[in-house]
Amino acid sequence: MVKFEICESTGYWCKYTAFYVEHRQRIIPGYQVKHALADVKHCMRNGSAAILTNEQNQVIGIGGFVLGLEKDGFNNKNIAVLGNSYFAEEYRSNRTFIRGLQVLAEKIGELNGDVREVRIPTSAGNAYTNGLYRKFAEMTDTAETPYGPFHIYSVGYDAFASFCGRFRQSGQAGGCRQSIKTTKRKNGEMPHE
Amino acid sequence: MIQWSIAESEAEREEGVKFVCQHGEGLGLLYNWSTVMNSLVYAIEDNGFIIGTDDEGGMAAVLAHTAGTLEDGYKDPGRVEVHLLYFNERHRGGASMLGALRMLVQKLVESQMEVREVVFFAPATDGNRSLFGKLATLTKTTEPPCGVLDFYTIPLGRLLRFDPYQRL
Repeated sequence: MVKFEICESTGYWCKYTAFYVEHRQRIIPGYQVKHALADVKHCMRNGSAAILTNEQNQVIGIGGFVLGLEKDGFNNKNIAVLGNSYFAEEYRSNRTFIRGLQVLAEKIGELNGDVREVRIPTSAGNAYTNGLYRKFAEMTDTAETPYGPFHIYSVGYDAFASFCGRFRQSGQAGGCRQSIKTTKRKNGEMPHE
Repeated sequence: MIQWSIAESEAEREEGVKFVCQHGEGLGLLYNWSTVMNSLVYAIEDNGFIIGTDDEGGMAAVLAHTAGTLEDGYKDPGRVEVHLLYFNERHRGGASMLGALRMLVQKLVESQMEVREVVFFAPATDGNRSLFGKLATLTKTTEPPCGVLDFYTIPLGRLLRFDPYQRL
């Protein structure tokens, strides 16, 4: 049985970072270590992340998001942007992937109950993620990046949460916005947080 | 004996970061993990992410420094800030520390930067003050959100006695 856990402590973030750095170039070919580390930093300071573990407690997948757009200094917290996610091949299935998205959807609602939109950037060359995101989101833009073109998908938060909820495990309760909590988050560089 | 080298390739940087992650809860830093990430990004950009390997080629230590310090937004490259120095348990002790110092001094002397001073933060404990006070000057104590930190400075001239190629 695989398990999704939100990164709540340094130990979780260490596992998340190690897995992300190890698999970064399977997510985006040529992706540099420093960019993966910057992603982790943004995710911690402006969002959240989760790890997926197997029966042996090994990390087999990750996913995360930020609230706000990096180009605007993460100021608009009503937009959630999903970060790079990755599952080890033997655990890859739409069901697992969407269960992971569901965990993130719940956390987005918890961090900010006013989130209206979820954006999902993905490499234009990744047929799997593009095919999946097209099922519930609309491609609104294509951005040029140092790693080639990226498609940006957009979907309303409620529609996103509803789509992810279809694979909710029986007995699991709670809507995405049930536990609404606003957290004060620091933007910009803090010397020693 | 630790062999030090700048992590220049992506593979070396990956190894170094995975080592830091493996020991992430025992680095002895008070900082939030996101601050550690920030330090490593800047160190990589400044070619200051240095990995130490043991005789079998396994990871044994890391040192991360930047050209410039957080104090002035990295404007003055004459001040080098060491953000992280970590040895795994097997390689702790005076000899490893001395080796790291020698490596750093040699790197700074050979670099094209005009370095005047090396600075670093450390948790404000009696043990740290006793250890670092032998070499560095405790310049100030700060209280950021993560806890109480001492700020140490060392003029390059004082470090030169650790330069393996220079006997003053």
